[in-house]
Amino acid sequence: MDVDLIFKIAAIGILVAVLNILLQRSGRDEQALMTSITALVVVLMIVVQKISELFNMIKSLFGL
Amino acid sequence: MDIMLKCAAIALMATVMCLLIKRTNPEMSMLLSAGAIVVILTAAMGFARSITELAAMVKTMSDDSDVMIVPVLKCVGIGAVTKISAELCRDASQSSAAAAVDMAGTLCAIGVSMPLIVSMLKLIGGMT
Repeated sequence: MDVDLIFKIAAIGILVAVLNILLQRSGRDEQALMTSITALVVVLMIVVQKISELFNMIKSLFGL
Repeated sequence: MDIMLKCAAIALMATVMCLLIKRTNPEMSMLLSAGAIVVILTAAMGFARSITELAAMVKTMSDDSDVMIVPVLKCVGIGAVTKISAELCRDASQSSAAAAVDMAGTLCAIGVSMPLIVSMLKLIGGMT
């Protein structure tokens, strides 16, 4: 079981939330936006890979 | 049984973490729930391997004809994929996308189970 994946995503989420608040408080709104978008893309890449693995597994298992 | 408990624990933990990061970035919380679903299902699919053994057994019992068990298996697969995707969409409050996925899954399942229906009709036709 790959529990590390969930912890990794949650850690990225919390880190980005903190960074976002810090950057917004210091008046760098556009950098805060860029940070959150980058984090979103990174996490999206990881999750999409895993989802494709799962769907391929289902495909091979049930002969779809 | 052990793996079931682990799945429940992972789901609860992921839910708590989702709630934690939902306030600040809701999109990340949706991805986190998708990740949790993938982890849980990957673990659960290990058990589904025994289903393929059952399929092989049924195939030998029904004189090597695919018409009996293959549509059932395919319907289970289609149902699993449809359900996961639709519920993820519904979680992100995109009910229209969820309804579309549901509809696509239903149509695919009907298409897959056609050979079974045809063979049943042939059986009925042969009886009269």
